[in-house]
Parts: sequence; structure tokens; C-alpha cells
Amino acid sequence: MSLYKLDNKLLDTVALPRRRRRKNDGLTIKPLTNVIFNILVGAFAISAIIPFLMVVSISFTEESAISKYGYRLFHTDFSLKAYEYVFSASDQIYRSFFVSVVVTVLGTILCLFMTSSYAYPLYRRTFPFKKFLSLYNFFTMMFSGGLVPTYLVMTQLLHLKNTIWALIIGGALNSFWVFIMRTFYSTTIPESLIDSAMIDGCTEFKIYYKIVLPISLPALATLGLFTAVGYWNSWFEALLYIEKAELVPLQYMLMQIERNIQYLIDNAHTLDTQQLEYMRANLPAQSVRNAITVIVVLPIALSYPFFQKYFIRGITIGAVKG
Amino acid sequence: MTKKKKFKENFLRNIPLLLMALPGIVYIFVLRYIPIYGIIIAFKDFRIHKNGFLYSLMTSKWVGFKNFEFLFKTQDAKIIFRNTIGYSLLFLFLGMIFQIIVALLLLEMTNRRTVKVYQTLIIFPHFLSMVIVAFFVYVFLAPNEGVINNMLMAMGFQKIEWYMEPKYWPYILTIVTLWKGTGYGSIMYLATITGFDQELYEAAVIDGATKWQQTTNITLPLLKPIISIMLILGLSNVLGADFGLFYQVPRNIPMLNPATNVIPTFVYRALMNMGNIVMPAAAGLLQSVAGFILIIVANTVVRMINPENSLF
Amino acid sequence: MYRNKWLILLVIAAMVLAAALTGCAKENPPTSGGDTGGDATDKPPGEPPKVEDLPMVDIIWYQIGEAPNGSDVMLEKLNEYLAEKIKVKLDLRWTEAGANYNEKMNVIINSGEYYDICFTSNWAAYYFELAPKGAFVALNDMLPQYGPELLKVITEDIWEGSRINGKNYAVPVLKDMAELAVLNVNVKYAEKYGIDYKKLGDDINLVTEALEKVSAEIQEDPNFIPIINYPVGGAHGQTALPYQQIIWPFGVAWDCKDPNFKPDYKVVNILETPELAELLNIIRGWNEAGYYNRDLMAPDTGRDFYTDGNWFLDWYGYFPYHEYSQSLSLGYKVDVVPTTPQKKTTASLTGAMHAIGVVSDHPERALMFLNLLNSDPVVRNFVGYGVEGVHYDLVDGKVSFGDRSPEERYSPWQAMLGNNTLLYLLENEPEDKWEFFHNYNNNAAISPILGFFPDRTNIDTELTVMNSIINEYERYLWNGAIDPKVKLPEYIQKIKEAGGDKVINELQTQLDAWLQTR
Repeated sequence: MSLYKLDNKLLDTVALPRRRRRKNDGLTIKPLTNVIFNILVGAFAISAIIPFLMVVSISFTEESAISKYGYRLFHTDFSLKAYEYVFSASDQIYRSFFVSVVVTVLGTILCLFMTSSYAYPLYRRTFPFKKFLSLYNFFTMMFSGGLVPTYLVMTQLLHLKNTIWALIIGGALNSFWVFIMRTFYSTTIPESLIDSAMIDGCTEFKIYYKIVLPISLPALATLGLFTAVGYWNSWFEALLYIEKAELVPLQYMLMQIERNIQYLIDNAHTLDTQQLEYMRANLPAQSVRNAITVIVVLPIALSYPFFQKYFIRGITIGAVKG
Repeated sequence: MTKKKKFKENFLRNIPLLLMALPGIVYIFVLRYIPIYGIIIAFKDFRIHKNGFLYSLMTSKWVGFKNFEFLFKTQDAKIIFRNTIGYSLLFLFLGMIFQIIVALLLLEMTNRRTVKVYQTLIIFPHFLSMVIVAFFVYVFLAPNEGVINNMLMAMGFQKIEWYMEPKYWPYILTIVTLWKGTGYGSIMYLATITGFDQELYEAAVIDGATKWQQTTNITLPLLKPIISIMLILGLSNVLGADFGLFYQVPRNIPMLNPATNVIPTFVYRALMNMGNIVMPAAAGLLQSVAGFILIIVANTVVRMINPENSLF
Repeated sequence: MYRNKWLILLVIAAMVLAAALTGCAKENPPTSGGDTGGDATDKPPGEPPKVEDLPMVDIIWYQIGEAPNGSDVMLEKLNEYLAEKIKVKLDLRWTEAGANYNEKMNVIINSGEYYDICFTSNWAAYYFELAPKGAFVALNDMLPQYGPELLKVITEDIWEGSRINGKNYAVPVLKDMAELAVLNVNVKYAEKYGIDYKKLGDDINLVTEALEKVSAEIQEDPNFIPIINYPVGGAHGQTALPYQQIIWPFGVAWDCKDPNFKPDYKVVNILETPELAELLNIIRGWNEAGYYNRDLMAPDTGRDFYTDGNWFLDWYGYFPYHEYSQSLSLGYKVDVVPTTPQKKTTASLTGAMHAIGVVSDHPERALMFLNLLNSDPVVRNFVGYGVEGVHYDLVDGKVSFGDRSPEERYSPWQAMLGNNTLLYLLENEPEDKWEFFHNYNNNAAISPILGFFPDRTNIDTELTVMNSIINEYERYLWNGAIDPKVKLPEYIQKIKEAGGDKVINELQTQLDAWLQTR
């Protein structure tokens, strides 16, 4: 049986329950060390979540209580007003949510495809153009034409203004991740595996699809997560390319508020009162701002376990091998 | 002629691999190479003409390095460059160390379920925008009602004017960066480690290696390629800095400038709302060129040590 | 290595292709005949074109402010009217105020994308940067023919405010055209502590006394703030100091309180004047006595103080009758005390304008539209209040919203849209609003350097560096949060090192030349 088939078999066993490790088998740490590690990481984990909990808490609080008591983790004056306001003010939030989901899903799939397939030939030692294509990609990481020329390509060459593709195209290939993926391939996939598959008569496409992609699942999941978060959080493209309300993503609504606050603080000494007044009047209340933050942060945070499954799976693969 | 022949042969033999790279090649050409002519705007006195941007660009006067002058004419230039480069390197190295440590800790913990929970939690700060982070920092450091000053006073110490003293800010900014980026960054290392061949560890155990020895002798050496790639690529951004971290978190307070002024904040303060697209382009180009030189040097060094780990 | 040669070739290929593509892709090829509408030159000047002869054209108008609800409905009705009146189909595109409008317009204008009209000013889509760079069409030659009403509605001194080298590149929006720094007074506390607040504008020592008295309130209400801000100065220049700025912090002496003041037209750094130092020291004293908001680094969007109502004094840029509207919306009485007479300055005249893009294919038609917007009440009330019967009702000639919820109303950023004196009054507004408005504008003291705006070319680097210094200090100097005895000399020194003297010399040369041409 050739090596590649063997490996495929191993991958099939992934769904099996993980074998319980024996204690003190040398592969696991001592219980005391485990406790210390748990305390360290646990403390970090708690500190990481507190600000978000605070934002959540404020979003459920009566506006008057915030100006009275300031920011606290626990407020007594529970109120759903902020959410009622956000969801009832207009149906924009639903539309924007939908736009963000579409952009994130399409964009992530496209980016995974483009980035991993560009990185794969760069990993192949026998590929004569790998150095050139590395440089070709690397050069664009260093030098970019800037905002206006890119804008012209997007609007006048590709005609993407006011289309959903304007929000997707910009991030559809990640030059940085091309190198990370290449390195990942070369550390986890031995060249011999590819060679034996070649001997078995597999085409390049089949090798990529049947061997390389399954093995690189943890890396793809990581890239997918990073990309999805990137798409979910992007808003500047919307500012430049979108003039239709039905194509505005969720993050843009939040950034608009936060940028206006920053703008007010920065320009308090240069704007006259009419300008300040108008902008202040258009700022939503503190709790509404926090409610929007929660609505923006939660979906992507909750979809995290989906990606996480593949990291954990990667660990399990290792264990089953043994 | 043989060169040409060889090229043709190589080309024909590798058509499948070239086809796989083709979408990327086309994409990079259209979206990254075509706009690159815009770089010359940094050397122009840009005037707008009704025949469009390219015509405007071509007909605008060359002014040499005049658009770069504002970066060096300020008496704070030294501080700004020192801060930018210093923080970039600090965050790059320290960030990497913390990310790897957290990845290793997560890997070794025995209870998979808690690991899953930890992983989910430590990634959260990454989702918060800097405006919110800045506010959270303020809750801790506010002069009168801040959490830390309250604690200090309760313990009988003097309160500290955090927002008046630049000397605390290198630490504060570092803590915020690590807090925000470590969880997220550790995931990449975790994913890489999970791809390692488990048999190596089994063999090590048979030879009587302790857990610590397994980490130092197997895991870390295997991480070398990804570490060197991350370092080389990280160097490219040595003249860049997270604007929100240096502007919003210290609240743009003049007293803190010796510790917080970096190139992006300086450019922002100088050109705020001015509608000038040329000077930011000049600053960006300077950053690219510096990064480019650094990356070439770093890559050469890495290649001399181990060609396998170099970028190209 | 042939590979590297390849890369260079690729870059060149990309550039050539870019040139070809961007050139071809321009949707609207430039029309022959220069900046102004050449096709109409054979008609006698001064006579508006006959509407029947004109073809129908689309006009794209970028306007500042969030899109109001019902904008589409309004536009549909307005376009029916415009089609008949000047054969124009308007495409009105709103962009939120603040960083968004600036950033978006910057890209659109610099990239040469097609548009006809855009909002510009001294604070958003920066007029004095963009107009000299050639972004906008010069209107002077076109005005008599296509904008005759504009010449009547907007008086010469207002045109002068935005004139650059003898050319006007934008149509000013008629609103409050003079600036005036007033003290907003929360009357409740003045009465409680027996303060004759009407006199506070006369002497700063009276302000100090009043603050001292009123600060007793802090014992009762720890959140009480005696003073939020005082009109010290700063980049906007609404200041009680006897100087008029050219580009902050440079300016000339001008005491607007004295009608017989003889200006010497000598450019100085206002930061170095004794008046400013004295004022800053007084203000520092107020801060140290705890009259300012004690948590100055707190995130301040200025809003909470007013809704909470526990403040006494604030600096405010006056607009006619704002004390009434404010009292009404806040639910407690606010009054104003002027600290100077109202002033017409370059800044006060350029707060809101509409420019015609140099990329426009129909600049003359765009101007015809602006002409109508600023002279025809029908058009102005359409864009200002929406459609009658849908968004509002007209009761006795005044606008009534009836029982419409805020979401059912059409509420744009009113003041920025066009000649405000054409607007219907709101039902609670006094009859003499526009009369007061005209008096306010016409009786303003006129800056001795009104209409002078310097050319930045030779001092661009210096001004850019200074801008970063200004943004560093101003936020905390004007409310005494930092000590002026230490920080003001430091600030002045930094300005000097950044080329302060060179800028003063250059400004003086330009100002002298400008005075010669007057």
C-alpha cells in the first residue's frame, strides 16, 4: 500500500473518539504543572473577556444610570431599550447583517481558494518558477500604489462601485498568508508523500485536493478564521465604494459612530458650534452604541468554535497516529 | 537559445501547477501591479485636471523629495522615528514569544474541553475596536475614579497621574498590545504545531526525554521555519504602527507625546482633514522602502544560516 | 538573473496597461471648449438661456449630512419640478459629516471621478486646499449669464470671503455669515446665586467673580460644572482676543469692539501676544480652582453636560436665536451674552459652500441649478423639508409636523443646503427670524483682512509640521488642563523651530501684495 493511501486511511479515523492517554506516559504533563498552566491561561482568559462583558452590561442598562454611576460591570437598572431602539429604528440593521454574512462567507471561501492554491506550487521543490512567483507576490506586499489608483482600478476598470464584489475583491488573496501556507506545507507535508502519489499516477490537482488540503486543515481553518474576521470587520471599502443603503455592511454602522466620536474629540477646537451641534445630535446614546458593538462582535465570536473544531481535530490526528 | 528552450520545457511540464497559481497571478497583477504607478505621486506637486487622475498625475510638476520634508523638518523627528521602530521591534519579538508560550501551554493542558473554552475567550480582545479598548484602559487609569488609583489609595499609596507621565506609557502600550494580540496570534502557532509528526515525540519518550526536553528539542526546532518567516515579514512593517493604539489609547495628550508619538500619529495630526493625498503617500513610500531594505537584509541573513527557512 | 528582469518588465507592463485602461475607461470624454460652457458664448452675456432649447441633463450632487428619511420620495417630486424649470435631473448623494465626508470626497475629487456639484467649506472637503489645486470650476465668468439671481442674493462682501486670486470657485450658502463668540448661560444658576449675567461679556474679572459664587453649588451637587469652555482662541478663531487670524496661530491685530480701529497689517504669532498669555493664566486659575469639568481626560462628546443641565457657563459660536431653540429642546432656560460684536471673517464666510467640479460636463447647467436652489423657495423647501403633505404640513405659511414621528419626517442637515432665508418658518419660530438674521449679518464688524487667503505653496511643509504641533497642544491649553506658564513657551518655541519666522515673513509679503491690489 502506498504511503498516500495509508495517510488517507488515517484521516478517515479522525471521527473516532480519542484514545484516553495513560498517565505519566511521557506525552502528557504532570497534574501540578497542569494546574499552574490552567491558572496562567485562565487568568489571561478572564482578563480578555471582562471588557466585552462590560460592554454587554452597559448595553442592557438604562441610559440615565450610566451617566449617574459611570461604567461598571454590574448595573442594577436593567433595560432592553437600546436593543429595542436598534432593531426598531429601521430595518437597516437586518439588511446590513445579511450583507456582512454574505461578504464574509463568499470572501472567506474565495480567499482560502486563491491563497492556498497560489501557495501550493511555491512549496513544490521541483517547480522551476517558484522563486519568481514568490518575488512576484512579495513585491506587492511591500509596495502599493495607494488609495486613489486602487480606487480607479476598482471603479473604472472592474466597474465594481455599488456592487457587493467591491466589498469582497480587495481581500480575496492574502500575500502574507501565501508565505505562511507555503511554510506550513513544507513543515507538515513530506515531499516523499507527494512523490509516491505521483508514482501511483495521481495528477497534480488530485494530489492537491486529496492529500494536501486534508492535511492542511488546521492551517486552512486558521487562515479561514483570520480572513473571516477581517471581512467581518472591514468597513473602509463600504465608505469608498457603496452608496446604496442595501449594501452597507454591519461594521460600517458601528465605525460610523465611533469615527464621529473621535472626530468630535479631535476637532472640538476647530469646528464651530453648528457643526458640533449637528454631529452631537446624530450620535446615538451610549447604551445604543454598546448594543451595536455587541451585535457586531457576537456573531463572529460565536462562529469561532466552527473553525476551532479543526485545530482540535489536528491535535487529535496527531494522537491517533501514535 | 538553450535558456529559451529550457524555459519552454519547464513551462510545458508545469502547466498544472501554473494553472493552480493562475488565479493568483491574474489577481495580483490587476489589483496590485496596475495601481503601482501611483507611487510617483509622492514626488509630484499634484494638481487636479478634468481629464482624470492619470492625466493629472502626468502633467503635475516633479518636486523631488519636497513632499517628504515634513517628516524630517519637525524637531520631534528623532523621537518619532525612535518610537516607531522601537515599538515595532518590541511588539514583534515580545508578541511572538507570548504567542508561542500561550500556544504551548494550550497544547499541553490535559483537559481538552477547558482548552477549548480558553481559546475562545482569549481571542475576544481582537474583536474590540481600539476606541473601546481605549475606553477600557481609561476605566483602569482615570485619575480620580480609575480602578487602579482607587486600589492604590485603598492600600494607602499616593494616586498616580497616569495620563500625565510619559514614563509609564511604554509599559501600558506593551500590555495593551499583548493583551489584544496574543490570543489571536497563538492560534497560528497552535495550528502549526498540531501538524507536526507525533511519532517524533513517541520516539523521544522511548529515549526518556522529559516534556521540557521534548519542547526544546522537537517543538521549537520544528517551529523555526514559521518563526523565521514571521520575523522576516514582521520587519517589513517596522516603520508602521497601529494608529488606534498610539492615538486613541493615550487620548492624544501632549504630555505623553515623548512616549506615544509615532509616524502614523504624526502624519495624522499634521494632515488631519486637509485633503492632502500627497504627503501621506510620501510617508507610506518611505515606510515601504525602509521595510523592503530590512526584509532583504533579514532574508539574506536567514538564507546564509539555513536556505530552507528563507522567504525567497 | 532573468527572473528579476522579468519582474521589472512586469511593472512596466502594468504601468502601460494602467495608462491605457484608465485613459479608456473614463466614461465622460472631456468636452471641447474650456472650463466654462463654451456652447453658449454666442448669446449676449447676462441673459439666461432659454429653457426650451436646452437638452435634459443629469446633475450629481454630493452633499454633507446623513441621508434623511424619505430622500428618494422628495427627489422624485423635486425632479418633476426641475425637469420643467431648468431641464435637470438631480442625483443627490448624501454622506455623513465628519471624517467620512472628508475621506470620501478626497478620493472622488482627487481620482477625477465624475460629479457636478459638491459641498465644500473651510472644515470639510477643504476648500482652500482643493480649489487652488484646480478641483473646482471658476464661476466668475459664468455667473452673470447662468447665475444672475446668485449675484443678487449673495452680496459682494460674502463673495469676497472665498475669492482666491480674484476667482470664486464656490457659491456660498447664505446662513449666519458672521461669527460671534458668546457665553451660553444656564439662567437657573445665575438666578440662584444672584448673578447679573448680562454684564459678563464686558469684563473677564466679572466672570471670575461669578464663577467663584456659583462654585458653591459643587457642595450640593458634586457633578456640577461651573464652566465648560471659555472663548479663548484656537484654530477656529471665535475668540474674544483683539486679533484676527490668517492661519492659526498667525494673524494681525484687530479690535473689533472699536469701530475706529486702524489696523497696522503686521503679521504676528498670536500665541506670543500678552493678551493671550494673560487670558490663559486666568483660565488656568479657574481650572486650578476646580471650575472646569474635573475629569478633563474623560471622553467628552459635549452632550451629557447639556442634557444633565448642571453647568453654568459655556463658550458657544452664536447662531441667530439659538438661545430659544436650545431652551426649548433642553427644557431649561439658556441665555447668551456676547463677548464681542459679530464679525465677518474669511472663516465665517466659508462655513458652507457648493462648488462645481472641474470634471463636470455641464458646469453651466450645474450653476443654473445652484442659482435656483438659492433663489427659488420651492426648490429650497423641497430639499429642506421634503414633500408637503407627506413629510410636513403647511399651516398658516408655517411648517408643522403634526403627529408625525421623527422617523416619518424628512430632516436633513438644514443649514448646509442652500440659502436659508428662503425656508418656511417652523411653527414655533418667531416671525422676525429672517429680519433678525439679515440685521445680524449686515451689522457685523468686517475683518480688515476679509478675503485674504494665503497661497501655501512656499510654506506647505512648515504649515504641515505646525498643524501637528497645534493639534498636540490646543485641546488641553484652552481649558487650563495644562499649565500655560510651562506649556505656552514650549508651544511657542516649537512653532518657532518649525519655521514660524519664515511663515510670518511669507504671510507678510503676501498680505502686503494683497493690500496693494485692493
